Amino acid sequence: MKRAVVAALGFLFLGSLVAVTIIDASKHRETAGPRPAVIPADSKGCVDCHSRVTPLQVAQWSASKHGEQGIACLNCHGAKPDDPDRFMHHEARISALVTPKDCGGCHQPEAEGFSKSAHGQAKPGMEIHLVGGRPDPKTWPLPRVGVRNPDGSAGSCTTCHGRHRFELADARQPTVCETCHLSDGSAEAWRRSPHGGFFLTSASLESAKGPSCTVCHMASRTGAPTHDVSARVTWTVGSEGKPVQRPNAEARRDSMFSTCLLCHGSPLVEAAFDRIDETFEAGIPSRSPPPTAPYLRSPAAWPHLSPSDRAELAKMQGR
Amino acid sequence: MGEHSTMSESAEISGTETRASRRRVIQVAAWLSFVPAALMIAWDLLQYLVPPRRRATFRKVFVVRTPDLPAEDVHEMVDLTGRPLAIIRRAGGSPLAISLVCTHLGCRVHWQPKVRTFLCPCHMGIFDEQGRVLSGPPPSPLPQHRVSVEGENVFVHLPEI
Amino acid sequence: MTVRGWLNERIPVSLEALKSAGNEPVPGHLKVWWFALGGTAAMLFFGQITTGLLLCVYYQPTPDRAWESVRYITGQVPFGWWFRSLHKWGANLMIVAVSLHLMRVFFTGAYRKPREANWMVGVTLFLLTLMLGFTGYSIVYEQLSFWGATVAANITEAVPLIGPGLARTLRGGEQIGAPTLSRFFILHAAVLPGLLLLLFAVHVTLIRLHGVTEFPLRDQPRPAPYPFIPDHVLKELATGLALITIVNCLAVLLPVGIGPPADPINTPEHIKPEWYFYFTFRWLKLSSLQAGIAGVSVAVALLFGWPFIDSAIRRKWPNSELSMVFGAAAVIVFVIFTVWEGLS
Repeated sequence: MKRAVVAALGFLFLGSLVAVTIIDASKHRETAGPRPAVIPADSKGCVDCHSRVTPLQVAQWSASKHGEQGIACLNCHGAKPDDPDRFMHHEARISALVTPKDCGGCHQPEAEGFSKSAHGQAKPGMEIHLVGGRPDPKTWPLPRVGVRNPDGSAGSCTTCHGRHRFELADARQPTVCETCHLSDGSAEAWRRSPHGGFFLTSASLESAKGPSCTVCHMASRTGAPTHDVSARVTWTVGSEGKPVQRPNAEARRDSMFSTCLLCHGSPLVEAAFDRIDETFEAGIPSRSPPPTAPYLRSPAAWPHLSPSDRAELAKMQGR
Repeated sequence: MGEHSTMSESAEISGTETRASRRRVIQVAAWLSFVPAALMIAWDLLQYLVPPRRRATFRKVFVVRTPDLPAEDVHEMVDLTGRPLAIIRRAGGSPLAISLVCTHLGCRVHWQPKVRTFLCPCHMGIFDEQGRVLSGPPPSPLPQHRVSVEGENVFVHLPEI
Repeated sequence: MTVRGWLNERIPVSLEALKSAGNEPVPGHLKVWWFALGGTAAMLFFGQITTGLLLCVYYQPTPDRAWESVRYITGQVPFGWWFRSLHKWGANLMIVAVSLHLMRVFFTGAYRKPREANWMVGVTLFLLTLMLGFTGYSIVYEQLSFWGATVAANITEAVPLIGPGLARTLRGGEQIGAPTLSRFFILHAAVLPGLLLLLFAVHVTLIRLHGVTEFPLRDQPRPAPYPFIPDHVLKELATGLALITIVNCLAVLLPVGIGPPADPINTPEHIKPEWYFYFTFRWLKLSSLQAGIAGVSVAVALLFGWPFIDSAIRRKWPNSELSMVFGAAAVIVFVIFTVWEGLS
C-alpha cells in the first residue's frame, strides 16, 4: 500500500515538474535591463559629484541615448578658451548655457532649420547678459525662445527637448508646444479642430488617430524632418492683429500642401486651403499676435531695456 | 475436501504470487516516475546554472569630433570592459580604432609618434599604424573595432558586455 | 571482484549491520500525520538550503545590485522564477510546519520533565526560523524590505538600555544601507542556517537519547510499534514527495513577483511585515512602543520557560489542564491578531 502511495506521489511530482517546464518554456523573457551609461574619463569627476548634488539630472542623462553612447557632460557643457560664457568649475572650463550652436556641433541640420524658424529669432532687446562669465539672473533662465545667446545664436533646443533625457517622445507631445502656444490661440484652434479632437481621444503618440503639432509642422513624407517650424506656415498675424502672408508664400503653401497629403487626398486639401485662404483674406485671424507670457508684458521683466527697445517690444507684443 | 484444500492452497499460492508481482509492478512504476523526474531536475538545474552564449552585440559610442583628433598622437580611450584602444587619424579615410592589447601575451602597447608604430614593452613586439606586426613575437595584428563617421562626429562600435 | 566487494575493501562497513542497527521499531502513534510535523519542517529546511544556494549563484548583496539581481533571477535566468518561488513558498511552509510542530509538542505535553532542555532548543529553532524569514525578506531590497527593516530597527532602538546599540549593530550604522545588507546576507545565508543545523543536531540527539514520547491516543489501545525500514522510510519518502509536489504547485500557481526597488527617500503608504509577523505588528499598534516590546519579551520568556511554569502549576494543582487553556488562548490571540492585521 505504501509503495503504491509513493509511486502515485512520484507521478504527481513528475506531473508538477512537467508543468514547471512548460511554464518556463512559455515565459517571454524580457529584454535585458537598461544598459549602463558610458562615462568618458574627462567627465567622470562631474558624474561622481553631481550624482550627489543633482542626482535627477545625472540619472536622466545616464538613461538617455547620450549616456548610452558616451556623450557626457563636457561634450555639451565644455567651453573653449574664447567662449564668452565660460567659467572655471573645479578645474574644468565649462558653460552653463548650452545653446543651439552647441547642439548644432553634432545635430547640424536640426540647428540650421531651427535658426531659420521663428523659434530661432531673437526679439529685439531680449538677450542674455553675462556678469563675470555667468548669465545675469535678470536675463536668465526664462524665457529662452526669442532670446539672443552670448554666442550669437538665439533660442534654445531644450525648451522643447527638455534636459537631460532628450527623449523624442517627450518633444513630440502637443503639451510641449502648448506651454507657449496656448496663450496665442493656435493650440486651442488645433484642439477644437478634428485634428486635435481625434488626437486627444487616443491613448498615446503611437496609437494617435489624429496628427499632433510636430506631425504637420515638422514631419516629412520623404525622410528628413525639418526644425524650421515656420517653413510650412504661410500666414501669420501682422502688427495690426490681422492675418498677413509671410515671404515666399507660394513655397510655404506648397510645403504644407504636400504634408497634408500624408493623410488626405488632394481634392480635399485643395478645397480646405481655398476656404482657409478666404477666411484669412477677409481679415479673420485664427489666433492672436505672437505668443507672449503675461509676465513679459511688464516693464519690470526687462529692466535693462532702453526706452526705444521697450517701445519696439511693445509694438511687437501688440500693445 | 482434499481438492478444496488443494484449490484453496493453489489459490493462496497464486494469490501470493499476484501480490508479489503487483508489488513489483508498483515498484517499477515508482522508479519510472523517479528517473524522469530526476533527469528533468538535472536538466533544469543545468539550464539555470549555465549562462547562455549570447550573440555579440555592439554599442555605438561617441569618441571625438574629427577636428579634435590629434595629428601626430593617438586618441586613447577604453572599451566597455575597460580594455584600452586608440583612435588614429588616417589620411584619406575614416579614423581607425585599434585595440592596444598586444596579441602576444596581453600587455598594453604604446604609440610611438615619431616612428608611427605601436611598441609592446614586454617582449618588444612592434606594430605599424594599422596594427600589422612588423617585428617581434606577436602572432597576429592588433584587432580593430568598426568606426563610423557622421558629419564631424567619430563613433566607435564597441562590443557590449 | 564485484563493485560491492571493491567498495567494501575500502569502506569496511557492513550494509546488513547498518540496516539492522537502523531498523529499530518506531512507536505506533507516529503513524498519525500530526506527529510528522517536525520531520516536515526539517525536510523543508533542507529544501531551503538547496534552493537558497542556487539563488546565491546570482544574487548580489549590495544596495545598487541587490534588487536588480533578484529581478534578473525572476525575469531572465531560465528556471530562476521557479527556484525563487520554491524558496519563498518553502519558507512559508517551513514556518507553518515549525509552528504546528511547536503546538503539537505543547498540546501533547511533550515538553515536560525530562524534556525541558529539548523544548528550549526547539523554541530557539523556532525563533531562528522566524529570523531567517525576516533576513531573507530584507535582502531582496524592495520598498517593503527596506522600510520593514527600518521599522524593525526603530523598534529595536526602543529596547531599554541596550536598544540603541543593538539597533546600530543590526543596521551596521545609523541608517539602513550597504553595511546592513552585508550583515543580513551573511546572517541569512551562513550564520543562521549554521546555528539552525547545529541546534537541529542537538534536538534530534536529545530525542534519540530520551526516546520519542509514548503517547496513548484517547480511548484506543496502544498501537504496536512498526519497523523503521521499510515502513517509516516509505512514509518519510511519501511525505517528502507530497511536500515537494505541494511546494511545486504553489510555485507554479502563485509564482513570486518583485515590488518596486528600495527608495530611501519615499516611504510607501502601507508598510507591512511578512504574514508571520502580523501578530507582533498588530500588538505593537495596539500598545505603546515600550509596552509592545515588553509584551513580546514576556511572551518569548513564557514560551521558553513554560516547562517550568507548567511543573509549578501541576505541583500546586495536580491534574490541572491550565497549560492547555493557556495554550489555546495564546493560539486564539495569535490567530485573531494575524487575521486582524491581514485584513486591515
